[in-house]
Amino acid sequence: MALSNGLQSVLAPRLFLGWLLAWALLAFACAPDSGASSSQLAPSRTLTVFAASSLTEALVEVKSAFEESHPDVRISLQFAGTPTLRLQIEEGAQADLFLSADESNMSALRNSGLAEGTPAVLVTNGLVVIASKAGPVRALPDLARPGLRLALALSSVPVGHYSRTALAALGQDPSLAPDFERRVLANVVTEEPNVRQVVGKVRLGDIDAAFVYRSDLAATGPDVRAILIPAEYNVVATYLVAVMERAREPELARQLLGFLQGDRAQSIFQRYGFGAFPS
Amino acid sequence: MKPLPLTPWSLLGNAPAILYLLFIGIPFVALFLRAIALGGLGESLSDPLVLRSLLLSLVTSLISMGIVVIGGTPLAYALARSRFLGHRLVDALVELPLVLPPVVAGLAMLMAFGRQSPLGRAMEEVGIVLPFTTAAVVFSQIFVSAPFYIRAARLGFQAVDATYEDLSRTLGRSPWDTFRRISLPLALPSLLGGLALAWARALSEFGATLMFAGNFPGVTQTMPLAILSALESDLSNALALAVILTIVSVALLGAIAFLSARRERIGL
Amino acid sequence: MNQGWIQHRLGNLDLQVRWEAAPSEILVLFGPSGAGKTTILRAIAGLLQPQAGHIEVGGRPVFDSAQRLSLPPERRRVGYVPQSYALFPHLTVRQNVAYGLTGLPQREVEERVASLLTVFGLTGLAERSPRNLSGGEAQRTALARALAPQPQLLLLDEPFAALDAELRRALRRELRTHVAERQAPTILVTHDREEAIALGHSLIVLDRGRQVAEGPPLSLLTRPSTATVARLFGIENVYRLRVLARHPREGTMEAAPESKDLRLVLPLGDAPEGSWLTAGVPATEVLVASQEPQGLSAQNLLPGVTAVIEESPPHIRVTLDCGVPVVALVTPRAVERLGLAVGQRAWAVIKASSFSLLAE
Repeated sequence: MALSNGLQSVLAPRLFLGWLLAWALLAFACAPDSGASSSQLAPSRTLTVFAASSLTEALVEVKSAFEESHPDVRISLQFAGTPTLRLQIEEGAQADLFLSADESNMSALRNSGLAEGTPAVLVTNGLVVIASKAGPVRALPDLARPGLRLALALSSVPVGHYSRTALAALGQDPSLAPDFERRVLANVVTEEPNVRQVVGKVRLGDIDAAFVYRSDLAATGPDVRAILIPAEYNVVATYLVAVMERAREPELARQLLGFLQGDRAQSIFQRYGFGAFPS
Repeated sequence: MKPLPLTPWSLLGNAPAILYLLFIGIPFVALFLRAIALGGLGESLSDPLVLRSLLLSLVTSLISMGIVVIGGTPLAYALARSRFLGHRLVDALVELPLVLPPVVAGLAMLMAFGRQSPLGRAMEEVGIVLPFTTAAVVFSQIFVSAPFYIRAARLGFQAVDATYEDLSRTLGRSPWDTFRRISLPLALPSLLGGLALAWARALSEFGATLMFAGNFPGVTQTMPLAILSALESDLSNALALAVILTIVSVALLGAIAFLSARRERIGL
Repeated sequence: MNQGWIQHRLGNLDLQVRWEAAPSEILVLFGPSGAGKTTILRAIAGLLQPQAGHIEVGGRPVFDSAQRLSLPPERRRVGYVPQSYALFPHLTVRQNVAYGLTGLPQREVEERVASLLTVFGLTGLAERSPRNLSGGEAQRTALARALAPQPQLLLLDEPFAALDAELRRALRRELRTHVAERQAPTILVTHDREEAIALGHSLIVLDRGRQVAEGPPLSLLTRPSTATVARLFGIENVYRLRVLARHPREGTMEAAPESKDLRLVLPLGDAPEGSWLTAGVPATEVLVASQEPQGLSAQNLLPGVTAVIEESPPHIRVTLDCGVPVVALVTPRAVERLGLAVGQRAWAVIKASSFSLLAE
């Protein structure tokens, strides 16, 4: 005991100092670039963009287009369900730009003073039913067949909310069964936390069909069949974008916002199934 | 033990340990403080969604633990006592879920029992459907938690001197009697310890469940999934659920620790 | 009859042994560690499958390699006391003793356990946990537990190894009585020569798996037997003596061989004056002198004539005729220095405490 205590008192301070040093190095390595050293490096400014996961593919392409025309800028993209991103921003996550898949989450941020100015409309989106090609669903009425396995997104994420709205509207369609909505909901076996999980489950073949964004069709393959929802029953999902109050690069963020609304970005969004924002 | 003298050096020497404890402790304190600050803990407790996920978690994890104990105990005993062909392979297979991300486990089960697999289709023919059912929740929990129990049980059985078992046999007791009256009671503290770990793991199981069983209130939405779902809508509900899950887990572990400590005291 | 033979190869050990244990007798398997003694007990108990053999317990075959017969341990009706006793640590003394009593009405179990506890002097300890027992108490509990189901054969593996010398002697006597009363033959494994001689009605001497000698212990020791047996026993000089006088205050007694004018001083034992006993002394404990020594503390100074000098590497084995043969092991240098030669006068010097009392 005496010996080990002795050893401890000799070794421990040194170990502790080493440990401190390790943390200091780590902190240094992780620290944002300081002005002095960054001027020589090519991409000197970084924009952090939080975006709804339904924007994934399109936004990746938009990002390279923007970086091409702004060689000194690097865009860092973070995708998740809109409410998750909102929560992260509320808890202090640093974002320059926030792309929300709905209006309510964006206005919540605005009300708490975290979003700058009036949010701008980015794109619109609609819903579509995707069905596993091997499965029994070929048209909308099939969704009501008993014993199917359907997936929805959580009602708290925008696409989940929209899905339920569209389903309620479809219930008014005289060509469908009178209790269509109830029978479809009875077939729902899972509520996924985001739309990408919904798509994944259908592609794996264990879920027969699901409501997803039209833009998600870009993320599916030949294993999935798309079933269109008539425009009168479909929803118009409006994506909003705003510069964050705590942005590190507010000026650059505003530039990117303008780029997102410009022709080049909009044509990319349209290629991925998004609708142009109504001008 | 004499308390160590409190010198600057000894404080500095223990600083990493103290920092670590703070690192683990502070988040819990913060979770509780925030949940209390947001209020509505009582309200959340009576929320049917919270209650349903709590009940589902308890029921499914109890069933899982029952199956893990019934199936895992003989396996652990066999691994501890005999060398059979493929012993090492079985050993590795038992421990595989420990190193596997739970999502992979869920995906693998979906591949095995899903519609795309011959096995899943054959089961569906006879009317057994697993994915997206409560049974799938139990499967997921068993898949990820059983190794914790089997490992501990195996070590427990290995620590029981085989001479006791030999002796029991010469005293006219069958192998089953010997197992029940000698091996099992002697290894019990290890089994309980392993069970506590496995239970905690089953209660917190998330990845495999979301993949294989999905997330539907009252059917497959266990506490961790309910926390995730609530996080998308209502932070106070999510915090309340997190606090409840923490309390339930700690209470279960405490109960088991108390039981095994009592066994120690009464002379086991 | 309890008898059998087995053949078993295990690592370096090539075990070949044949035994026979008569009712109310103790058969001792004696040999150094690694001789295969415990393996034999385990084979008889059914805890190990010998590669070949035939084993009978109470006249009933329990193992026969030719007939592919092998009863499981629980059907062999043997009582087994391993070297560690292996008392079940989670059961009390009473529960340990009752453990083997299955298929009996509760009342009968209680009666049998109570009587066993009484016989073994364990009544006051009945509710104790085995971890709170002394060595002797644990040994008696293990014995009571093994005897409770009334086995046809009792197997004891080094039952006294963990005990101190005094307790060992007392418990040996106890064991002999139990075996005699219960008529249960016993096979006892030991590497302790005193124990082998004190307890065995018959003896099998094992060395590296082979049976090197067998028979009643005393005749094995006293007859001019093989060098291996002598080496294994380590007692080359064994005498049948009659007690002439006891000196309790000095802790000694005097005894003499029949019709020989020779008195030996031995450590004090239980044998009364006039009774016969057997005492032995290892050859390494015997000193040889070529002239009559003076002023010795040793109490036995035996004059004689050098009868035989033979090589026993690394020693030289000198046999003196002092009325009885006395064997001594000395170094070659000592033989040279003393100028020992056959036919010359010589003295054997033995301390009283070097003698062990083999049977009283």
